[in-house]
Amino acid sequence: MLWEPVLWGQLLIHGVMLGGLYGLLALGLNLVFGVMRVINFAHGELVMLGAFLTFWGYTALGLHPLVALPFSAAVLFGVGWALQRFLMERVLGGQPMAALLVTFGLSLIIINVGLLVFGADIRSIPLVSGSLRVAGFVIPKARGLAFLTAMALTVATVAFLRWTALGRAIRATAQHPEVAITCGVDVRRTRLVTFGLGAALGAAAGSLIMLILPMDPQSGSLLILKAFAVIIVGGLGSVAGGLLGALVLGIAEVFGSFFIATVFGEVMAYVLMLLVLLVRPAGLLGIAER
Amino acid sequence: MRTRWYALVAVAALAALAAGTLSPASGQNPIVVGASISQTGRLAVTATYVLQAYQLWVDDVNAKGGLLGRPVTLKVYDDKSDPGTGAKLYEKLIVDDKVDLVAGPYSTPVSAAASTVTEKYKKVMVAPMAAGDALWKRGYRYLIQTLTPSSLYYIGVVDLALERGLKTIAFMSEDSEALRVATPAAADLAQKKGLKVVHNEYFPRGTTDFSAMLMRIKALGADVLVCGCYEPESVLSVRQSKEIDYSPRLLFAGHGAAVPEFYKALGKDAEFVLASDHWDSRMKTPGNAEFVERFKKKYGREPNYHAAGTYGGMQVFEAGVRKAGSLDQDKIRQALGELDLVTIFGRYKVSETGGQIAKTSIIVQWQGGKKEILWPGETATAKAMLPAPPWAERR
Repeated sequence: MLWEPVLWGQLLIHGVMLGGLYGLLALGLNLVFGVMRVINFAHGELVMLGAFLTFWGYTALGLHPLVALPFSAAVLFGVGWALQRFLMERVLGGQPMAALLVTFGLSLIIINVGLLVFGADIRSIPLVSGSLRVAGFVIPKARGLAFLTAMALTVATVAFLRWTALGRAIRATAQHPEVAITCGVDVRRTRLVTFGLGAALGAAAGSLIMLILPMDPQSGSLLILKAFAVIIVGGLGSVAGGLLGALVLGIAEVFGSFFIATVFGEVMAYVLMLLVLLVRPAGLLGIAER
Repeated sequence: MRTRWYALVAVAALAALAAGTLSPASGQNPIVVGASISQTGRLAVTATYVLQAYQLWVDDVNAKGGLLGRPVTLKVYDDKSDPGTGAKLYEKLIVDDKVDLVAGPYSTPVSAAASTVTEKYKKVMVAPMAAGDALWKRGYRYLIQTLTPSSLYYIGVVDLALERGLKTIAFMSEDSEALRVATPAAADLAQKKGLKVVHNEYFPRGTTDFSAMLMRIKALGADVLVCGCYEPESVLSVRQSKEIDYSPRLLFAGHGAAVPEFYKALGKDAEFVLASDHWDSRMKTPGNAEFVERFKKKYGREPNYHAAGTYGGMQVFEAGVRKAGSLDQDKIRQALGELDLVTIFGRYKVSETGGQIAKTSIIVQWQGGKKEILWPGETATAKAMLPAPPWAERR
């Protein structure tokens, strides 16, 4: 009963849909790491803030989450920009540990302010329910919608990085900040934009996740673990690697939960991280630092 | 002149009669029942129901002429929702205030802490709001449970499934102490009665994505899905079943599905879902309707199961004291061990440890936006709408 091809196809679809979301979740974290060489521990909390803004837009203003999403992404872009401008700029370039600790402290502050403001209640946006049947497979409407939106945003981000001047500046800064400066790139401004963009992508991911799964102010810290796993598996700083890592994690979680136990799905992130660090420490598509 | 004299005598006689019926025991020193209740802190909102039920019980006992011919009064302290404070207060009640009887506090943790003190002084404590079977596995003698024991939470579902000729059953439960008892008890009963258990899994608290587990349960073709869960898992299990188009013919979503918030979160998707509850105001237990009326009249709000459970617990305590015929704690304990009765809350009977073995949950179903009692049969308010139609056929 558990070995039918249709069922496996169904599981694969489920895993890919989950992976698409994880990809968007990790993209912002990965971009910020690429440019700043800092792991932003507060990324999960920015994701949570974005999700709660969208939730607020839905409940208080009656906005469809997909309509509220650009607004919460824009707000979080501003938040990210300000954090970089007034906080991160002061610690970057000094002790690497300092920047790490600042983001860690930031994460704790946001969680606790979130608990104070939003309360510890679990929120969700149960707007889209039920499923579609496509070629014999069941596609949950909410998950399908979130996946398609996540993919569109990922593609848009990749296109932005590839074909716009600002995107090129971000890639140049990521590759080599000093050379970027000599080529006339305003590195400081690039960093501001990157942190803003990272936060905005996180907010978008959070809003989409809330369409499917409930969240509370502490959910961000669970989500960032998945984002870590994704970029470690895929390769730190590699956008394509991040996407691949996300798909691998999504599929592994679904198969692990299905064939072993739900608890095991949650363990998959760590199993994959461990395997990759043992076999290919730079990640699937990462380039080893020389 | 003559008529006025007669009137005076009549009034005096009436007054004496009234005083006699209301408190024949007046003049005697009262029996003091001591308890600590969380009047402040995080448990306070629910605990007020417990306190109000205690007060209502005192009124009712005194209206009946008191206990052992003496009036009853209540001595209550505030434990501030803290188990440690609760334990100290029970020490104070027993040692300083020398209360005659002690009744339990609200919540399992406070009861657990308080019971270490009452056991030390060999005071019987009827603890109406203590769940958790572990409390009765410590070898204590003087602690009496009246709330539904975990092992009898879900057994009604098995009966209902068999009635409708369903064949296979799957369990998914939160990994908690109570549900680690409730689920195996229901699964064992299912197996014994010929239902095939196709899946039985525990998930950690805080899990939000059950879709892969539900896909497995769907693939295994379970007719009955039992989610051992509270809010928010009750809502998630239903929502995600619909999402992957899994239509169990009987979907039971635990205690969490009995609260109004469950229906509010799911709307029409909550229809046909079964839930378990400790008590319902429509239950046909002796005196239940009158209790609900009196509670509403005195406090201006509907009693909940905490109020009913507390009142029922005190009915048990009262019966125990009357049977013992004295305030001797060992005689009362003996009597409580032998009693088998039905209170407004349901049946009461304890094992040797003092743990409840007879009170079951009731099973309800959401029908047209309202909860209807399905099980046990003698207290049912509606027929079970089972099997539930597939998601695709609902609108």
